Amino acid sequence: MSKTTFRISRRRLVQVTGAAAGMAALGPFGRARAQAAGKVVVGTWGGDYSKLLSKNIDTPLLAPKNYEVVHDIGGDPERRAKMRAEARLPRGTSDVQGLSAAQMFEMSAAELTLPVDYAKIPNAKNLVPQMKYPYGIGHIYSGKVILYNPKLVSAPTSFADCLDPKHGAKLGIIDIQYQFTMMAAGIASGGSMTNYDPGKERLLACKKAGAKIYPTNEALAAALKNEEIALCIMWKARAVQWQKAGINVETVAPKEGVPLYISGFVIPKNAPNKDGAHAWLNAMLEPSAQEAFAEDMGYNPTVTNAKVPAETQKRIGFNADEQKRLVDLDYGYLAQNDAALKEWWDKVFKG
Amino acid sequence: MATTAMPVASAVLGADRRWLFRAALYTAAGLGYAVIGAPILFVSWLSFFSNEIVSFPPQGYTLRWFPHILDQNNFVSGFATSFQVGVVAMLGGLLLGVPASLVLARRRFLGREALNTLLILPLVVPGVVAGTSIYVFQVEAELLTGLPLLGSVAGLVLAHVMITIPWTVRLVAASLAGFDRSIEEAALNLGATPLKTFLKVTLPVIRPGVVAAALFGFIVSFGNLEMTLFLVAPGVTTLPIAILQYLQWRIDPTIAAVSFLQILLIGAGMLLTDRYVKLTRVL
Repeated sequence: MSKTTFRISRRRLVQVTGAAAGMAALGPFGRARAQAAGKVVVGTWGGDYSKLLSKNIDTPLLAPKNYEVVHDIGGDPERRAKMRAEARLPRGTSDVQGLSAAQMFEMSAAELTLPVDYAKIPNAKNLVPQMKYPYGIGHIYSGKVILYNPKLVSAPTSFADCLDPKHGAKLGIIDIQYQFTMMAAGIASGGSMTNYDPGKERLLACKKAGAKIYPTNEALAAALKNEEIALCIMWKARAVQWQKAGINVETVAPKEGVPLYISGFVIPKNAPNKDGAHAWLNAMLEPSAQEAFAEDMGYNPTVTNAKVPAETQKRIGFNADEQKRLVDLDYGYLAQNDAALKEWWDKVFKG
Repeated sequence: MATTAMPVASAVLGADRRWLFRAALYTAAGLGYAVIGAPILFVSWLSFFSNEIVSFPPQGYTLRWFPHILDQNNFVSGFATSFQVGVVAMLGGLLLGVPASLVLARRRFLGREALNTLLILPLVVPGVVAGTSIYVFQVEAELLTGLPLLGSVAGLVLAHVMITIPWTVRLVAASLAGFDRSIEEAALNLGATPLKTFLKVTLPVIRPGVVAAALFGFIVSFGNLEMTLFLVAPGVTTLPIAILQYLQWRIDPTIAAVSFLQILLIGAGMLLTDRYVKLTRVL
C-alpha cells in the first residue's frame, strides 16, 4: 500500500504565490469614469438597490440605446461627502446620485445639483406631483407607519397610541431614524412638520418606561421576530420585507399623518454626461422599471401609469383614505435643525 | 516553635499562591480565547441558519446561503477586487516597508524618530479621516495637474499600500532585532555585492518577519472598509463594501456565509504560511 503525500516545497510556494501576485498586479483594473461617450455613472446604494437598477433600468432600457451604465456604489454619507469634495472640479465622477428627499434638498441648498431639465424627461409627465422637485426626481416612496405584533398588542391607531409609555419595554425605537422618530412624536404631541419639540417629553417618558433603542434595522427586525418588542414605527416597505421573512407584524397608517420617505436621484452640477443623466432619469420613470421595484422591494411607484398588481398594491400601498394623509416633510426645517435634533437625541434622549 | 512553623506556613501559602496564579492565568487565557473565538464561532454558526431573520434558537439549518452568494455580482466582483488590491498593496508595502525598516534599524540620522512615527501613523489615523483626506488630496491634485486622478484604481491601491506599511515596518523591524551584522560583513568581505548579501544573507534571516508582514498587509488591505468607502472608483467595489451595502436592504445570513468563507480563506492562508514560516516567532 503506497502512501501518497501532498507536499509543496518552499520554492514552489514562493513561485505559486508570486504568480498569483503577478496576475493580481496585472489584473483588469478597469478605470471607470463618467464620460461623454455614452457612459453614465450612477451613484447608488449597493445590494438589492443596485442590483434592481441594473436589472430593471440599465440593462433593458439604457443598453439598447448604447449607454454603458456604471454604478458608483456606496452609502449616502460617503457619496454626499464626495459630491462636496469634488464640487470645484469641472468634471465630476458621477452623472446621477441616489439620495433621500431630505438629502436631495441638502445637496441642492449647497448648490451642488443641476436643475432638472424636465423637457428632456418625457416620462416626467406621469410623475406624482410630490415627487417632482426642481433639483431632483423621486424614484420610489414609502411611508412611516406603525408596525405591531397582533399577538402581543391591540392595533394602535396613531403615533400617539404607539409612542406611549404604557407599552413599557414592548416599544422599540430605531436609533438611525432619529429624525423621523422625533417628527412622529412631535406630530403626536401637538407639534408640526416645522416643530418637533413638543414630542421630546413624550419620547423621554417612553424611554423612562423602558422603551428599547435598537441601532440598526436588523436589530429591530430580530427584536420583533423574537417578540422582545411588540411595536415600533418603520417604513411600510420594510414591514412588507419583514412580513415576507416571516415576522408576525401588521401595519397601521397613523391618523396624525403618514410621513413620506422618498428615495430619488439628482444630477451633480459637474456631471460629465448631462444628457446621459437625463436619459437615465427618463428610463427610471418607465412603468416597467417602477413596477419591478414595487414587486421586488415593496416601495411604491412615483409615476401614475405604473400598474402594480392588486395584491402587491394592497401590501405595499396606501388606500384612498390613507393617501390623503401622506405628508411630505419640511426639508428646510430638517436641514436647519438637524444638528440640534441629533444633539438632543444623543445627549438627552439616549444619554 | 515559631521559627520552624514559618517555613511550613510559607510553603503552604506559596502553593496556594501558585495555584491561585495558575487559576487566574487559565481564566484570563480562557476569557481571551472566548473573546477572540466567539465572533468567529457565531458568524460560522449563523451562516447555516435557515431562518431569514437571524434569531435564536435557529429554526433549522441550510446550505442555501452559500450558492446565494454567487447570485450577487457585487460579492463576486468585490472579492476579486479585494484580492487584487490586497496582493498589490501587500507587494507595494513590502517594497517600501522592508528598506524603510532596514534604514530605521541600522542608521542613526536626524529625524529618524519622526520618520518612525510617520510610518506608524496610518495605524493611528481613523479610516474615515484617512479616506476623506486622501479624496480631498486627489481633488486638489487633479485641479492642479489637470490629470484625471479622482476615482482611479491607482489611487485606491496607493492608499492601501499606505495602510500596509506600518505592519511591514513593525514586523520586519522586530525580526531585525538581535540580527548579527558580522555575517553580512563576512559576506561582503568575501566579495558578495550588497544586493547579493541582502538576498542571500539578510533576507533568509528576516524571512519570518517579511512573510508575516506580507500576510498581515494582505489581511489589513483585504478587510479595510472605512477608508476604502471614499476611494473606490465607479464600477469597482470591494468585498467589505459589498457586505455592508447588502446589509442595507437584506438581513438574511448570506453575509454570514460570505464571512465564513472569508474566515476559511484567511485561516487557510495563515496555516499554510505557518507551515513554512513559524508566525509565532515574530508575532
